[in-house]
Amino acid sequence: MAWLFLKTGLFSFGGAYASMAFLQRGAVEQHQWLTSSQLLDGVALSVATPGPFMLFTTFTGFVAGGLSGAVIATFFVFLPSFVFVLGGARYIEAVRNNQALQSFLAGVSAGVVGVIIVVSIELLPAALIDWWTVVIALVAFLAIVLIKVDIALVAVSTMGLGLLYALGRAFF
Amino acid sequence: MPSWREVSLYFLMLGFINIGGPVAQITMMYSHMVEKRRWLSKERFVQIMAFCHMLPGPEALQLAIYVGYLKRKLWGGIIAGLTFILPGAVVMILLSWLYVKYGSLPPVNDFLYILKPAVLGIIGAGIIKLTRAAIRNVFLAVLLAVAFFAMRFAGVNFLLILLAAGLSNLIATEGWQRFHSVGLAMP
Repeated sequence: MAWLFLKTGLFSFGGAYASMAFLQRGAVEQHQWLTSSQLLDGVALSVATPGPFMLFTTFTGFVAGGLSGAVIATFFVFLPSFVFVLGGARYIEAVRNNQALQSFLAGVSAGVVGVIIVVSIELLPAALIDWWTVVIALVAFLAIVLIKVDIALVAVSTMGLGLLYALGRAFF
Repeated sequence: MPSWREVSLYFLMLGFINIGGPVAQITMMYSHMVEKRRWLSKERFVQIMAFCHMLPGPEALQLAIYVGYLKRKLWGGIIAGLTFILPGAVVMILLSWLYVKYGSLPPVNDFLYILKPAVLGIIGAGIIKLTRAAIRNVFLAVLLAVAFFAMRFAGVNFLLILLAAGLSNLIATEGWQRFHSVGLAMP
């Protein structure tokens, strides 16, 4: 378990979206600690919480192994960030001027987008279960891409909407 | 130099208020750290941001660690990073606990019914942004497409895909430069 999360932290080029791909492959498909629908629930919750988007790894750890699972997941996912930054802090100029490293990373960044697209397609059926959900997804997508609404605003307003809907269904 | 107290309190505060994507978080950190507190210059901030952007993992966290390091050395970096993550991690653990306990109740499901597709929309928008940033030439676009097909239809392990993509681009750019310099050297 520690290894999966360490791997996720080590190779999540492009940030949270890449780590989603790792967990979909590792925690969902390989180990079956949770379903893709649950993973997406975790991503939804992490958008709504302060802190890095990648905190859905904490959620995954919790669902897989309770409190200790959550602590292990969080520790190992974020450990590489500390090591990279504190270890590399003094070499920041050298790293930036290293042409070979830059080319390599540019290739990785392009490849990772392909991987993320594949995983996102696999996650679609977990959330898009009827026409309403398709409309919600499209509106959120277009609001961010076309009129540059901030992600936080989209997350908070959908949470409000979700709360109203849940309360409405519970009481009426 | 800001005191320990100032550094740790600032990042703890940031840990509570940094809701939203990395762009919103980094914009906020810029206005606090460069404009208001003058902990570092604009140039230095941009330089650090470019460095963190290259590293795998969450940029905003890495930025926090770096600034903590600048202000208070190794321990400053560690404290800055920890205080930045901790509030969110605690909230997340509480939510996960509630989710495991009550996740099957109808109202929770209704709530997530609305939230989940919106998150897909957010992910979709994120992909557009990542694509724009990653695709700087035709070759990189080809790499993206190959990675997509290798993963979707051939089921290739994706660490392998990332490694292959990185190496291909390295070989392609280096090769192109050699070719160019040889071409120029010849009369």
